[in-house]
Amino acid sequence: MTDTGISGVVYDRRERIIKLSRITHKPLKSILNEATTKRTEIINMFKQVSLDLEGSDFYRYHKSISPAIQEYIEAISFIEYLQNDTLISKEKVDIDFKDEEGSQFLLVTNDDYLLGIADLTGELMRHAINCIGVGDHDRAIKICKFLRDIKSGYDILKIPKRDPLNKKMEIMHQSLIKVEDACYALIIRGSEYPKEFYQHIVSEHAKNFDVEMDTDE
Amino acid sequence: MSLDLSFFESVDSAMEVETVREYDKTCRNLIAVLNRVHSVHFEEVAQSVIDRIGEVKQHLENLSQIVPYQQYYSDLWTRTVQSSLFIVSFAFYLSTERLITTNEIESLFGDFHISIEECLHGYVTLTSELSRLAINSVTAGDYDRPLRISKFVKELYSGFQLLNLRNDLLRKRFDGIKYNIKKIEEVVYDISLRKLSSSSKSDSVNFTGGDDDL
Repeated sequence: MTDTGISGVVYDRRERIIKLSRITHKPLKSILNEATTKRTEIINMFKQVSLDLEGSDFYRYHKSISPAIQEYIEAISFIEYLQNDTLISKEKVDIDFKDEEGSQFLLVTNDDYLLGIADLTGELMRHAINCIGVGDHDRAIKICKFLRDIKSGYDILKIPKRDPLNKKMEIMHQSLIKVEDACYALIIRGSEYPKEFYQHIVSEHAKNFDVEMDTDE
Repeated sequence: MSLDLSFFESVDSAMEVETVREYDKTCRNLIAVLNRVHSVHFEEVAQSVIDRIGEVKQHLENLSQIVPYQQYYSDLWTRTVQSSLFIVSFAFYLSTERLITTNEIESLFGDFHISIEECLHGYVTLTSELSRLAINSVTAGDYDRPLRISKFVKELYSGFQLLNLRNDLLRKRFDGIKYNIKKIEEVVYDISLRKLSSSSKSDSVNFTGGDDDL
């Protein structure tokens, strides 16, 4: 039971990182700095857990630690995208799980990586929608393409019916459609007004919406 | 005395499973390639898929060699056949903007027997992918394509309406086509309302002279 306890703690930390990176009004750099310190904290926790997961015990308790690893991959791949606009490679993920001597203290399975990146697409969907909200249209369209590329990668995989990836693929498809529709709306309505004007409309609308919500209650 | 298990060994369909798996892999690959039409110029994407149709044909030939005579109908590969029909009809539409005919399918796929239902399933998938393409071509700045897609999908749908489909999966998917059409119509509405397409642009010159003053 102890291993679920430890991974539970790790899991909570991970959520906090993601929440951090969701705050868009903060300057990106300070968020990333904050994330970097959290990242080392989490890696240390993974190191602690790894003592319980040596040899065949890793496979025995993999189900307990796997969600934590996936969440971590989701978080660092999002950081990677924010910094470099690319998809983090499996090798780069592995580096985080290596100690100073370069030996792997915790194994990241291919499934962990695939599931983690699948979660990233949901996060990118939110990011794209937020970008549209603040008027960063080019970025939203860029994210849309990026999502499409990731999805083509998953399309090649043969996923068994009972695989947890199957459900995530469905969600990934929905996220992509959502971003595509949002980009479409952006282009079509954006043609009516100049960009700045459009941004103004969006923010006005958001304000009105808040007022309406208040009066409703 | 031990049991004679030779019967069980003879019905083992391992070979078929293996062939279908390879066939399925090719189809998934081609679909991944086709997915790129939503973000890049699709002439070359369509062409690269058409160039690889030979691989599908090869898989079907392998399959027909192990499938006993007239036993073409099997749940084992019908999904894969359907998706390869979608692939070929989508690639064909992208390069010619018309529906692939059954004769053309036969000439591309060779002797393997393909049922009408499988073909229709492929066409239904085509309509849903085209509704996605209509939206994405607007994002890519092509305002004329959705109008052509709309015409094409509506014609295809009217073809479906001639059929008396019974209560099965095909019928259910057929019912879904109208939602794809609705999506495309919304795109067409948005485009014509804002006079974005080249045809409506020339029309607007005829109707109103001084629209810019408003």
